[in-house]
Amino acid sequence: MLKNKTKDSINFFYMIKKIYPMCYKPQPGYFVYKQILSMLLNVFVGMNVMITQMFFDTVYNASLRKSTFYSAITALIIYVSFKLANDITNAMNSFSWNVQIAKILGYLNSKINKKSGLIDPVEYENPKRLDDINKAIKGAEPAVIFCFFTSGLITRYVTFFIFMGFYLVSLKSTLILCLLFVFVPAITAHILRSSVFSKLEDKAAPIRREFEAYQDAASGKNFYKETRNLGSFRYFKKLIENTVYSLNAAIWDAGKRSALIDLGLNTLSFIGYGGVLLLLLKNLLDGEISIGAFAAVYSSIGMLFGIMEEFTSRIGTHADNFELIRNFLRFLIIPSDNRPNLKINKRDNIVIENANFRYPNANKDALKNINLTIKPGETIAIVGENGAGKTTLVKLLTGLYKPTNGSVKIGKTDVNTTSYRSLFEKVSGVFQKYQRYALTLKENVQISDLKNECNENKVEETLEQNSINVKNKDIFPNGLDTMLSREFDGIDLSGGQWQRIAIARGLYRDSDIIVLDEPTAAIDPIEESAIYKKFMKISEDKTAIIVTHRMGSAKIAERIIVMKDGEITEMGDHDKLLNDDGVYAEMYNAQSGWYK
Amino acid sequence: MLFGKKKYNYLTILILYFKLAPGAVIIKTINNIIGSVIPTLNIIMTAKFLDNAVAAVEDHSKLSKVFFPLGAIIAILLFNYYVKIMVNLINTNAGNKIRKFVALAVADKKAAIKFKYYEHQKSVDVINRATVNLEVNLQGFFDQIFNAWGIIAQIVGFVIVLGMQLWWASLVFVVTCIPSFVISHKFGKKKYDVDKEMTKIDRKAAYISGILTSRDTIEERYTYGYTEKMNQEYINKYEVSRIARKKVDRKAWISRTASGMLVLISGVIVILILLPLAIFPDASGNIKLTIGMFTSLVNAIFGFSQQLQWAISTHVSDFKHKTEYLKDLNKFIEFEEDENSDCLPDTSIIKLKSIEFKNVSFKYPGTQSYILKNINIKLVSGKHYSIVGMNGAGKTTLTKLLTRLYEDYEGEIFINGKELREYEQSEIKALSATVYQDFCRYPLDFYNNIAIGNVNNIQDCERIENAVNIIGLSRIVEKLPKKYETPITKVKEGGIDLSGGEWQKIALARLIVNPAPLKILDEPTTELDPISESKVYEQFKEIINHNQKNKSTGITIFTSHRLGLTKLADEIIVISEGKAVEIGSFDELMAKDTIYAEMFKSQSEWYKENKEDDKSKKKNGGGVYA
Repeated sequence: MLKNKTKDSINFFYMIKKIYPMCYKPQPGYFVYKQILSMLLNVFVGMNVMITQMFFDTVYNASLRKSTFYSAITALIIYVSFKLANDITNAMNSFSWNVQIAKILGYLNSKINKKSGLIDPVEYENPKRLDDINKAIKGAEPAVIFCFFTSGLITRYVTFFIFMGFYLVSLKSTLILCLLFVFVPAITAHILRSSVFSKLEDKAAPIRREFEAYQDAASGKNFYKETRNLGSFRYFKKLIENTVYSLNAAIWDAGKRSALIDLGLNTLSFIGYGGVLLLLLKNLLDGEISIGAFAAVYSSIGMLFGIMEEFTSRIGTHADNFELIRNFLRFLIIPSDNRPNLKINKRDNIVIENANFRYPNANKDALKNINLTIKPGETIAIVGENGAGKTTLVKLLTGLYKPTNGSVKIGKTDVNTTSYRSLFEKVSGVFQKYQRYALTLKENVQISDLKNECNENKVEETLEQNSINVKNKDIFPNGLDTMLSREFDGIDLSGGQWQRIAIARGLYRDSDIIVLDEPTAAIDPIEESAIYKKFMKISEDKTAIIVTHRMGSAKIAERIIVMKDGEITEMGDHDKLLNDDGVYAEMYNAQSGWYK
Repeated sequence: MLFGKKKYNYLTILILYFKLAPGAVIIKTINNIIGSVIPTLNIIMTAKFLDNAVAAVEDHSKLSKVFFPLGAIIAILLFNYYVKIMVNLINTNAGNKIRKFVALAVADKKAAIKFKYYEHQKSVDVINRATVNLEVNLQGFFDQIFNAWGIIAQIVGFVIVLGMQLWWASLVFVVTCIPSFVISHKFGKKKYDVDKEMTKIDRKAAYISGILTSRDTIEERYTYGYTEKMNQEYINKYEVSRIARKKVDRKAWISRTASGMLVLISGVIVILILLPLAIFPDASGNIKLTIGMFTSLVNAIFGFSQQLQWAISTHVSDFKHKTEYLKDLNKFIEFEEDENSDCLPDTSIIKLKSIEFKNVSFKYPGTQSYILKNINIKLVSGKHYSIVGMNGAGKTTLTKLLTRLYEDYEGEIFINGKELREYEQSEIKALSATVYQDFCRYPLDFYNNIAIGNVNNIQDCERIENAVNIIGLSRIVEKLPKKYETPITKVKEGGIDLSGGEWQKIALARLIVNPAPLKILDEPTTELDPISESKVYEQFKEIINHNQKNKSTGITIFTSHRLGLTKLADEIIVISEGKAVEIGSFDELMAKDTIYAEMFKSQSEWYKENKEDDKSKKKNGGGVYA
């Protein structure tokens, strides 16, 4: 299993092995076509020098009366046709590059999207993995470029060097030195650059972060109101002023260093250029090469240096991108869910036995010693302080997280043995972190059940049940098709409206088990009690799990589970827990005191 | 000034750049002047060099003549290789100067503009587009013009050298090049238009991709299992954009190639004209065009055909982008400002006697319906008020008016009998302190996050420690690695993450240290668990009582969904559909048995000891509530 691939084990060859097939697959024909084009182009680069030589020689000879005017015209025609062919091929090559990279990127992104729905959700809680996940999308494009660059090494540069090498040797064997003069400075420059630049860490980055944070605090969107009310703008302006000095100093320092490096590198190139020039001049004066050959090679020096510079600068950017590509690959080798789809009856007992749960890299268990059986149709409330483990327990119950030890079973089926798809069939929920999708009103509800055809009547009905009046044209100008986001030219809703839509979303999905994880924080009191009533009614024949820190809401459950520090400390109905006079009683009294 | 009243165009932007970094402008101008002669000089020197080298082949004694043009060529090389580095450094320096200036100017302007601009996504977008990377954008204008100048100088120089050989050849070249310019221009524009149109679809595709990969969506994504279908949607959106761009790209490539070829063809015509001159001697028996000059001109022509393909269309689309950017910048500059909004609060605190709303109505700018309708309420010193009401009833709007975030309300608000709008900004700031639902998590350390509430006296440690004790944060401070000096956001290295509840307490402590007599709490406890929440309110009650004992005058207003807590208030104001429908003490309102009483009962029902009904709820399908 490649599960434990570390940073170092993703080497160059592994990258090639993984990335090439991904770039080849979406458009095999284009892939080959592109390689041929780029090879052709580099043959042209070499031929260019030869044909230029031929052209100038003919013209020069004609002026010396060694050849006719007509042969000069013929040479011109050949020369121009060649230039035309070169330009067209060049354009085709660039065009096919854009077409291809766009197609492959789309393919890779959709692959990332798909994969994100198949990995173990607990991976998102692992800071190292989260980094890979977040950067995977950024790594997709460098990966494609990596593929074409490395393949181009052969089709482009090798072709080019062989071709030029033969040509120069055929002119005069010592002229092969020209390639050396071009190649050695460029490669030295590259080695220097990568060793120096990797040490030259961007010292400015943390200062820049601070600088931007103060700018935001002074007058950014989310700070404006309070900063103004407090009159603390000048305080932050002072901080901006102070950090801008240190930021500028850091940027200037980096600028100076890179100027010094460039100075050295350019000197190398300059020496190389001068070397080629002197070598050519010497050969010309010695009568070893013709004036045409001299002119042709001379006019190509710029191009030669250009190609080498492109080559080394690309290697440079690749080195920077390697880490992103590694993120991308590490993400793709996180194991996918390949457990079988099993038919599970959700109207069966949910049994948790001796379960513990620990988040990746955590040093203590988030859940300890959980033993719990939930009967079908039962209503369970989970209460406890912030951070007691309520939401984690729900995630364990639904199978979103696997227990670190112990087992969770629905009926006879262990949740570990079946796919997410089967686990969540006939399971729905409304969560604390409910989403505000920048989609239409209809899509915002329907998204909980995309497998089935959209039932517009049901969408509207569910919304109306939750006091969202779809027909109110003042709020929803396009009814169900109203876009719910300013960003995409739609409308803004209040927090309370969003919560009601989120609840409608959870209820729209056909379910035997439903979770209600504190989604009511921004809903007003009358509304809230109405929602709980409705929820009870709808979940009459369902297994319902309510997470709450409003004790009054917990009371409606048949059984209340009280959690503290990851353990179930009390369990039972409201009366029993009040009699026990434990944490529940304390919390209940704290809250109900306000209503006496 | 950067943000005066005047609008910016290309010229004024350049003037601004000159004012900010005159040294850089002068050096870059000199560089550009030299740089524009260089390509032409290169043509001439190369020609000389070639000719003299040819001559030297035949007669080695003429070798010395090679050295001058060779030296010139090397000097040009040196210039190209080294001046670039210097220009980079100058740019860095100029960038620093501009940043120093622009950062403060932008902060000022953003703080001065009216609050309404922050409440609309469209104007927020304008602010972002206009101010993000402003210093880079300013330099971009300058560099673009310099680049264009460089290309034009190159062409002009070539035309002159060519004209010196044969004047009408350069005329032919110029005329035959025109179609190529036209085509390039047209497609530069077209590409920009399609890019703009497709950006929206791209954003949507990126948004869907975000849903499918984000950590925040995990619960819904896995439970609802929508990945497959939404991914299909992603692919569809992506492909629409990709295919549209591909079509334009294809056209653009064709046009670029065509325009390059047109230049090539006009070049061929010119070469055909020049060719006889390079081969046949004229009447006096000399060959007019030397092989060196011929070679040099031919090289220059083919160099152009490559360069022009790109340069023109890139410049056109770049120009379009910059014009679009100027529009945003000008819109931002035109945003209305509140005068003197950056001031500190007054150090002398006014004695707050009363706040009176008289026939106050208000609608948000750009909306039709009134959010507040004819509000008439009077709040008096020493009392604790609670505002309750449904979502969207106008509770938060009242707060926004009191803190003068909006000034264009109808009716009047009197503070101690004087209209709110007649007070100075500094007095307004000294008047009230608010904990908003979305209070700020400042990028500061623990101490300053609280002390910022008393901005005129940040050093007052005793006051801070006192607030920390009252609000129950002392245990948390003890646990922090650097105690009070611990950074509590991730901006600084070693920053500690605090929980939502802990942050809420910090926001409350910030309110306690604030000397303002009017204190407003806008649902600040939603993230606290019930025990902590109760404690917070109990503590507040004590603060109020304490204040009253000390005969300090002041008013406290809080809004909450949790009606139980409203009992703390001396008076409860019920807002419904923009109107103040009920005002009175808890007992009065309960006795009245109307709206407030109904709401309170509905909530307290959850806390009634009603065993039998509770037990029967499942069987009867929620019969208790029927």
